[in-house]
Amino acid sequence: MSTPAIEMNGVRKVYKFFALENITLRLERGQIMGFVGPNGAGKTTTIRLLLAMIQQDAGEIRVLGHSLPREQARAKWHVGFVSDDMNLFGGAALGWHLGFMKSIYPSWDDAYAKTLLKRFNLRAEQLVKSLSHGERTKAALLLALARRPQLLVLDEPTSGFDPVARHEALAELMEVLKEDDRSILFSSHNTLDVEQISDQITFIDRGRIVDSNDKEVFVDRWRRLSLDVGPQVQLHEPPGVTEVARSGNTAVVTTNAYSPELPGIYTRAGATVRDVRRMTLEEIFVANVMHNRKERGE
Amino acid sequence: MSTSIVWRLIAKDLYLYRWLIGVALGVGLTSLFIPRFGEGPNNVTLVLLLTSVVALGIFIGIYGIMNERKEKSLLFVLSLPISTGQYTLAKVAAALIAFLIPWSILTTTIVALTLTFDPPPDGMLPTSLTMMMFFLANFCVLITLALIAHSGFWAVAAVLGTNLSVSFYMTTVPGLPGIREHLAGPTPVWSPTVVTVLAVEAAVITLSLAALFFVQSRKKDFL
Repeated sequence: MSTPAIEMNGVRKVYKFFALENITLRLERGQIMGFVGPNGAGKTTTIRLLLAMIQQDAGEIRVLGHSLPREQARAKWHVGFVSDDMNLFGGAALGWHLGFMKSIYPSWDDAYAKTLLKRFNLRAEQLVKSLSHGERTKAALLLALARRPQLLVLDEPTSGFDPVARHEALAELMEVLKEDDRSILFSSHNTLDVEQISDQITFIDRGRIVDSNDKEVFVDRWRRLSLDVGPQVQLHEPPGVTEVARSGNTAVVTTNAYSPELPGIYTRAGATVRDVRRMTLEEIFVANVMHNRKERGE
Repeated sequence: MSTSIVWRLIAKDLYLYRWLIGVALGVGLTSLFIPRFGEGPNNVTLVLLLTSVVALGIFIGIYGIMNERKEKSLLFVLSLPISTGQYTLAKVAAALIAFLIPWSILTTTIVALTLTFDPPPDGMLPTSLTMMMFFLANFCVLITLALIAHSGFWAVAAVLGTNLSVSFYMTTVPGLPGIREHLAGPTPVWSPTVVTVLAVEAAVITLSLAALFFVQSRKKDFL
C-alpha cells in the first residue's frame, strides 16, 4: 500500500487570536480533496503547514511520506503549490520563470508548458507585473502543473478567475488527475468548484476539522425534509437531525444521517412530508458548520 | 540537489539585482574619477560615492528582501524544494554578492587612485578603507534586520537606523585622534585607532550575520 499524499495527525498551531486545534487529515494518492471553510477558518494556515512555511506547535505532518518540517525540501520536490495571493517576480518575464523552473525540476515538461501557455492565453515575453490578477494565478498554475508534481496544493486558486478562466483551470486539474498517482488538495470557499472536481470533502471551521468524508457520502447522508405540521404536532429530533426550523404550519428538517425510515417517523408524529430532497454541497457546508458551532456552544 | 537550488536562487536574485549593481557601480566609479577632470578635492565625489553604496544597500534590503515578503513572491520561493535554512543562506549570499561586486571594485579603485595620484594624499587610505568597511558592516546589519523583521515598521526602522548611522560615522570617525592628524599625510598610518575601528566593523559584520542565522534557525514561521 502506498503512503498517503498527506497525513496530519493531531496538528496544533496557536497564534494570538487564532488556533488550529487537533487537525487530523488524510489524503490518499490519486484523490482530490476539497478543503472547504469560511474565511478565517484555517485553510491557508493548514496549507502553509503542509509546505513547512510555518511549523506546527504539536502533532505530526507527513507529505508524500516525508516528515515535516524536517524533510520539507525532499517533500517539496514533488509538490506543486498555487495560492490566490502568491506572486511571481514582478520584474521578470513569464518566460524567465519558465526557464527558472525548468532549471530546477528534472520533471519539467516543456511541451505541456507550451500547451498551457496557449490554453491560458499567456505570452512568455510578458512581464509578470503587467499581468492581471487572474493571469498571474494562471501563470502560477502553469508553473505548478508543468512540473508534473505528485501532489498539487491549491489555496483558493480560482478566486480571481472569471467564469471562463475558472472552467479552464478546473478542466486542467481534471486532466492532471488522469495520471493515476497524482493527488490534489484544493482549498476554497466556493463549493461549486469543489463539488465539480473533488472525491473527498473536508470542512474546516474556526480552526477545527468539522467533517471529512467522500463527496458521495456527504451527498447521500444529508437530506432536507419539508413538512406540513399542525400546531399540536411535536417534532422530535431523532439521531442525525441537525436542525428543525419551524415557521407557522411548515417545518424544515435537516439531517446528516438520512435513512428511508426518517419520513415515516415524522408522518407517525402527525406531520405531512411534502418533500425530501438532496442538498447542494453549499447547503451541506453551511448546515454542517452551523450544527458544529451549536454543538460546541459557540 | 537542494544545494544546486541554493545556487539557482542566488542566480535568480543576482538577475533581479542586475540593474542595481550596474547603476551603483557606474555612479560609484564616475564619482571616483570626477576629481581627475578637475582641480583639488571634490565633495561631489564623496556625496556620489556615499549615495551609490548606501542606496545599493537600501535597495537590496527593500527591493530584494522586504518586497519579496510584502508582494508575496516569498510564497513562491518557499514552495520550491528548499528548507527555510537554505532559503536564508541563498538570500544572504545573493545580497552579499550583489553588494560586494560593486563594493570590492570601488574599494580597489579607491586604493589604486589614492596610491597612484596626488591628491588624494596617501594618508587618506586608512580612512577610506574604514569608511568602505563601515558601509559593508552597515549593509550586513540592514539585511539582518530586513530578513528578521516581520513587519514593515521594523523594516523601515532598520533602513532609517542604518542611514542615520552613516551620518554619525561621517561626522565622528574621521575626526578621531589617531585618524584626523594623518589624513593629509604623505603615507598611510595604521594607528591603533584605525585598527580598532576596522576591528569593530569586522566584529559588527560577523555578529550581525551570526545573529541572522541564529534567529532564522529558531524561527518557526517564515510568513
